[in-house]
Amino acid sequence: MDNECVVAVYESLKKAEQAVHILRRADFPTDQISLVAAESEITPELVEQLKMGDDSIRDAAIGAGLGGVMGVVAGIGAMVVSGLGVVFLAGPIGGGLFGAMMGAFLGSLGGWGVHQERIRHYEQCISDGSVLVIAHGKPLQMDNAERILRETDAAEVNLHARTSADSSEILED
Amino acid sequence: MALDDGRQRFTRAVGILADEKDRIKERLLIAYASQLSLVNAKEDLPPELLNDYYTLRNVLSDADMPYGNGERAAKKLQHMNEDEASALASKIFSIFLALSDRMSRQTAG
Repeated sequence: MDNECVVAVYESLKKAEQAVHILRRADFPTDQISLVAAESEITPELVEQLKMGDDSIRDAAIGAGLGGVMGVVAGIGAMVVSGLGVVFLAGPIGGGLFGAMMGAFLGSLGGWGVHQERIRHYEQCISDGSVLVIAHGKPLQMDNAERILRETDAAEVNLHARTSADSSEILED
Repeated sequence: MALDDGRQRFTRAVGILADEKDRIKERLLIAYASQLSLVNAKEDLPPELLNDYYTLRNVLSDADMPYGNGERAAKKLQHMNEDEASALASKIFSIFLALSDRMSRQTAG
């Protein structure tokens, strides 16, 4: 049962995309990777990548069976796929429907061992324009994911485990 | 079996260096983070290659080392120029060749 996750915080979508790509080159299962970004991060270029490009995010989304719904990103400005490959949450965080979506998704992180206090921290990170890359899975997978993500240009990398107190390390620039 | 794990990691790292589209520094980051950072040196590499691997690792990521600057691969590579990155890529290739040669001799023997 998947009960652990590694959450990495990036200052830009480009850095987060690179991290997703690196995880995939390590054969980390696509359907165990999530990417969370605020609406301001969803640029026309990114939408194009999602629809047509060969970038890792597009591949991850297709791997999760989402290729057919990519268009909604452009039309509605939001895509929420909780528990699958890629998660985009759009709109003003902290209010309205999108705020509720954000709360619901980040709340689900509790099932992977992320404490409420840390969830609020991640909400704040997204509000501030950061992008989250979340890998979840079994302990050995998480050990590898943490080692991989630590080498990327992350502002923070934290390992969370549901069945015990959080084992976390914060890498601050 | 563990030595084969090491060889596979280096084989895949060399493949990444060859087939990624970005500049050498980005390719090096992908190769190191996705493959070589997962090498368990004492189990996955023969004794004669440990120093080469540790030297490579120290240049690319010294956060776990008491005498290092506490930086990971992405940050270390930002400080490098393309020539330095190319030299590291060559080092990875030479370790890969040494591992392959050793495995071939083992198989033949």
